[in-house]
Amino acid sequence: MSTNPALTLALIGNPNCGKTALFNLLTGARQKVANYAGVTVERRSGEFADTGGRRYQLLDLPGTYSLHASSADEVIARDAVLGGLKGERQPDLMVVVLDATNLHLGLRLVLELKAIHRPLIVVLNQIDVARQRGIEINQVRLADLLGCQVVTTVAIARAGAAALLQALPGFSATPQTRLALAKQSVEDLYRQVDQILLQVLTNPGRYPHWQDQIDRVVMHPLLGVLLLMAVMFSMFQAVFAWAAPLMDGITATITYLGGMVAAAMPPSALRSLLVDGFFAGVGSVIVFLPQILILFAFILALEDSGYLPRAAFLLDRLMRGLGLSGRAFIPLLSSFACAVPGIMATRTIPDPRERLITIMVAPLMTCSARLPVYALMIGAFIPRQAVLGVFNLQGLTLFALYLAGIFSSVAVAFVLKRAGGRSQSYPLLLELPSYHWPRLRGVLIGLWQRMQIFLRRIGTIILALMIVLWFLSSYPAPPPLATEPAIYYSLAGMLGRAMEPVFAPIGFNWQICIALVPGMAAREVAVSALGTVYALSADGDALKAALGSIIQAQWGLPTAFAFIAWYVYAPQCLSTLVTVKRETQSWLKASGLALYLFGLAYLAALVTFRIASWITS
Amino acid sequence: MIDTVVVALIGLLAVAYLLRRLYAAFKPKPGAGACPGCHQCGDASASKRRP
Repeated sequence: MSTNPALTLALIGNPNCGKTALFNLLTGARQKVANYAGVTVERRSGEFADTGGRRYQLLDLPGTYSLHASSADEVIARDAVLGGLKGERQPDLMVVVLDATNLHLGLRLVLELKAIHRPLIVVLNQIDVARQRGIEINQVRLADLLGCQVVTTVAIARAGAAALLQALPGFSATPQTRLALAKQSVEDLYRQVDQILLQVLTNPGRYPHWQDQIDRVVMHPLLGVLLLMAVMFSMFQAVFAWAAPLMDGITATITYLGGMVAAAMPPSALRSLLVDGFFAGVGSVIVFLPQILILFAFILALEDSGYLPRAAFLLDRLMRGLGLSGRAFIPLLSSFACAVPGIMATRTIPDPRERLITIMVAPLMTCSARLPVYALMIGAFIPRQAVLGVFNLQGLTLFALYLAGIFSSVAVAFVLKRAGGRSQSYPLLLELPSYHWPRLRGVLIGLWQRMQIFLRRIGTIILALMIVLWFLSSYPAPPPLATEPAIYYSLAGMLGRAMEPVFAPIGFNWQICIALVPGMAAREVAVSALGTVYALSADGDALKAALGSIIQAQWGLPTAFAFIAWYVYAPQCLSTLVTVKRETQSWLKASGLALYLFGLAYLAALVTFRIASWITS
Repeated sequence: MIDTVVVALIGLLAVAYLLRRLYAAFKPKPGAGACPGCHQCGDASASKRRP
């Protein structure tokens, strides 16, 4: 029997003070955490119980410095606190999380929250780091001055929320009331903050000197950019160099299992579905799991280290000249994993025009779903050889493709900026977090989640699409005196041949055209679709060779390069288009995004195909 | 015959699943915010594990 939670709590505080880490600790959820501001842009809800069994609903809110919101994520936090969020009740208790190493920034929000007269408890998080730095806080005096309970937590430690859990039973439900923000001058608020700090901060501590020394290199205008390039370069080298043995192992296993199934079953529709649909289609995508995990190991470690906001700061001047600002860096960086969270992360951008431009260019960043497509093409057409004795040519090619995405997004942003009128300029105010070594446990949990996500996608949407594609590629049966493979006469074959005249100028044959259709759902689906289409196109019953070998034998280099160029731009991801519509509240803008990206994709593939054909002829 | 029925059932299940996903993408559950549930970013995959 389930009972309603006794209290609704809301976690509110500055960005990157540890709210989501505390949320995860209390509820057992595994929401994304990282060492930079702006990771949480939507409220999340979870439940937990205290030691006495009393249950609570906990809201994790986007970080904010003030209740006077200026960006979309801050509006969500403000509305949740005031009870104006649709579908959420007003919190009975606000759990105000402060970074114990930086009370100055957080106390302003506490004073604003006090002014709306709702129960609150102040949590000094990262108290362990504060103590390491010699920061001494008079907790009792702080509680007296604020007129509320003050507890300490270490959100990344197992028992780090014990003090908070002990304090919660002392609170009870409060009636829902209409709340309004009090008018307070910012200067007055900070004057009060300074007064409080004078009385409670018995030792302000010292910022570690080594962090400043690192920053001297990392944030140097020239050295910093070179370091950023080196970090990215190493990442893509590792993706190919380290993954190869594992990928070979997975390919061999799938080929062996598929061969066993083919040998064990008599020729039938079910056998064809298993061998051509499942092993050839789904199996051709699962091979890329090691590369995706290596890429994310780097991304997760960088996210946890505190390096990324420094890179944003470094690129601010460069990006500002091109129509964006350093604020767009984090959303664009998130888009390397997936454009969906990247587009949602644009909520942290207060300028509506800059936000729209960022949304429009985010799908150009190379998301992880493109990796299987690129890796397939690179594996098939770029030899595994060393360049200058050190670098891996395949890794260099992947790096170039990532750069192509970055430069394309910058170029489009530049054009969009010039196309519109002037907009208000918002200076970049970015809080630089402390550096720390990436926590192994956090990185491993992140990798485990990525693996689950990838395998779940393969086992659900990709598998379902491959089954449907197998049906479309197998029926109707070919005529009695057919000279072409059966798929040629199937519904999918008819569709592919109908599309072929449009795509022939960019070197795509009817088999590629078929793969583009299910590939609209998600980019990596195109790889499994090609696997199924070519398995059904091949002669004989035996399990076909690995997809890379097939396309290497059947496609020319111009077609392969044109296919890659197509995937640098094509918005073949339904989730991205739906998210753009939802974030912009406009189908027109989502359609505009799809149209311009398809246009760019076609143009890039055409130019690539023509140039490559001319060079190779 | 059984072979054909099994294949047809698998096909129907696949179509039903894809339609459900398509519907979910355009009509997210309340409280899920703007997440289309594509399971790419990791947000939609938050564990239900209790502490």
